Amino acid sequence: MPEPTQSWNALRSFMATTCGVALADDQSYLMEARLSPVAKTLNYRTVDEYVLEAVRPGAPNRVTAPLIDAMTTHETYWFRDTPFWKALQEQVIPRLGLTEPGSNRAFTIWLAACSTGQEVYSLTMFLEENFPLLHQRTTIIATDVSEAAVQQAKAGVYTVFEANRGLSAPRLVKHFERAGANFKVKEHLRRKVTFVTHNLVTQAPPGVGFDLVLMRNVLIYFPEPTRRAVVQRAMGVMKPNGLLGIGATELLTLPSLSPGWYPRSP
Amino acid sequence: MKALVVDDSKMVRTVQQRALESMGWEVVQASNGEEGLAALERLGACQLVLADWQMPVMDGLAMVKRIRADTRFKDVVIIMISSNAVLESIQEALDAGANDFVMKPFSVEALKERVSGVVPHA
Repeated sequence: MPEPTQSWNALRSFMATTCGVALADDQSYLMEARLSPVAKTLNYRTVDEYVLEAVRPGAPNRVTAPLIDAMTTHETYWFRDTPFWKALQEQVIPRLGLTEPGSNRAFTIWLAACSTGQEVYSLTMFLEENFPLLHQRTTIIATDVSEAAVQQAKAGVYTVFEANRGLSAPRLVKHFERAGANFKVKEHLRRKVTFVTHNLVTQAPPGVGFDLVLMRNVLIYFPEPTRRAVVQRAMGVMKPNGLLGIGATELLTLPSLSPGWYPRSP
Repeated sequence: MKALVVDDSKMVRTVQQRALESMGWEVVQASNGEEGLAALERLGACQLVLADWQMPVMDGLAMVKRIRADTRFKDVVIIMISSNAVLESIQEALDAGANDFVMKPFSVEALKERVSGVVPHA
């Protein structure tokens, strides 16, 4: 039977190299807590046995994907971080020059680490409410490393618990329809977003020419060199006047427009 | 900042009171709509009401309508809290004058976020 330390070390190294996620020394409880249900479902005798199989080079996706899903954090809610939305409305969008009368340019956004979709749907609601004409010309690519999260995001269905997290009742009745005991984002908002499973660390960006790239609360999980590489790649696929939006506490050593908002560096 | 918590379940009132107190609110409890209205009269200045829907004597929806009919309370922020989580009911509560609607079951964290959403400077 494999040693727990052996599987823990293998998991840490796999998460660091494949997903850019640095697990701390004292986080081995996460392995047991998040992976034992997965190991059981996939009929492995122990978590250790499952981990060693899943992180093996060449392991099939059906074994590895659930491990990535379970180990990547999905802490998310609606309209997270009020100053972000205020800056988007008052500083960021006006600066892009897309809202001048007569402008008919497309508005293209890449939202990375979309998790289960709350942020990207908050964005479509926000645009529809505040910039209805621009909203019509908006296309969004939303990506996440977790296949399960992307599937849930694409479905756009949320439980009472999920809907309660930061989504006001006026917005709930305006933008959702009933789906059994749950709530489903209305079709015209879901249509605005293309969801793709994508690894920020190992894969090239999912497109070019973005007005905005949003990757909030994901860089904090990466070690510094990975963070720098990911930001550089994102800057490289932005339009010359494009902007990068990250979490307000994830400071970059670049000139910022307002906390968390960075113009493309020259 | 004073808040009024109206629910016929003592346990729910306690959870709500603790959540609000942790945000710095001073909290008064009432166990039905009629008691809620009386408490509001007594309090004078009250910025926030958390109102359950299904309660004996006077339900939350009736209480919300009575509060909104009284110009003295026009600035009070009301959050309706109910397990009646269908869009039509939520709309009905908003039409009656509730500012927001939290569905049961809710987590304390969710309640606090929603309170901050409607009373940003609390």
